[in-house]
Amino acid sequence: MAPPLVLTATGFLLKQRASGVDREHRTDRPDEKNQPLWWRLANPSSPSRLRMLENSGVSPTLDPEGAHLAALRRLVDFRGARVLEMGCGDGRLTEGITRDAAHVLAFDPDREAVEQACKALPADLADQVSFRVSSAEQLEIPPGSFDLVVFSWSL
Amino acid sequence: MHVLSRMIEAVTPGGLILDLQVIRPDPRVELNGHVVAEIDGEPLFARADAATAAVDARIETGDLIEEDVDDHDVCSHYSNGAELVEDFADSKRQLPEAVVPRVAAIQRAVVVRESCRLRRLRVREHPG
Repeated sequence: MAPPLVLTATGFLLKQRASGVDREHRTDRPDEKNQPLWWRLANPSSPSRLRMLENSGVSPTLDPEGAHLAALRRLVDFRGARVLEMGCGDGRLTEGITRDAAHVLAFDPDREAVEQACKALPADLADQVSFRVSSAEQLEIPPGSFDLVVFSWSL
Repeated sequence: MHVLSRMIEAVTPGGLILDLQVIRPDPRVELNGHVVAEIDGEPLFARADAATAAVDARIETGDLIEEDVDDHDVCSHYSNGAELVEDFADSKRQLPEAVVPRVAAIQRAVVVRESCRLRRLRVREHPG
């Protein structure tokens, strides 16, 4: 079994851990049919999204109003916070959170989505974000190491 | 719920958890701001209900304190009704069969509006 992959905001695969078995490696893809519509459209590997792109060449626009990020900002001041983002998907919310936070660890079991998030992140934020391909059960998290956790429809 | 326990442990005592979930009513298909159909959201609500119950249980025990709630809508935009119908073709959440032809015939931009709830939860300073 391949060792786990560690993705960073500055590129694709940068490191493969030699040990730790597959604690961060499993990429059990969530059942797409159980995901919200916005998730399926935002997910770069979503069959729904891919089929739509193939057929029409036009991607639907997901939350162009920024309602989700606005709600997050209404309830929390991310400035200076160490943030754990669970279920980051393709990083649709990650950039907005990172603009204010000190550091964000964003993870999702969907490898393709996390790779997309890495690609999409502006270079000026690269040092503030770490991405992981992992489920919540498998991610290694030191206790008390974050000021804030964001569950993005992932609990 | 093991995941919730792990995330609570990950937060420094007194830190925050933001939990975002879909909520009822069913997602609405809108044309020019008018609802033209509803989508059965129950397959997703069942999961959201379970997550909410897990959080509520931790509030009951005092491990989490609910400080604020923000209900808001999020919209997904389609160029036309056919795009929307195709996207839902393989979904557990279904457009009612009776409205599929009508929605598919829409030639203008349509929106699916879903309701979401964001809860701000504070982790107890001294977990018991």
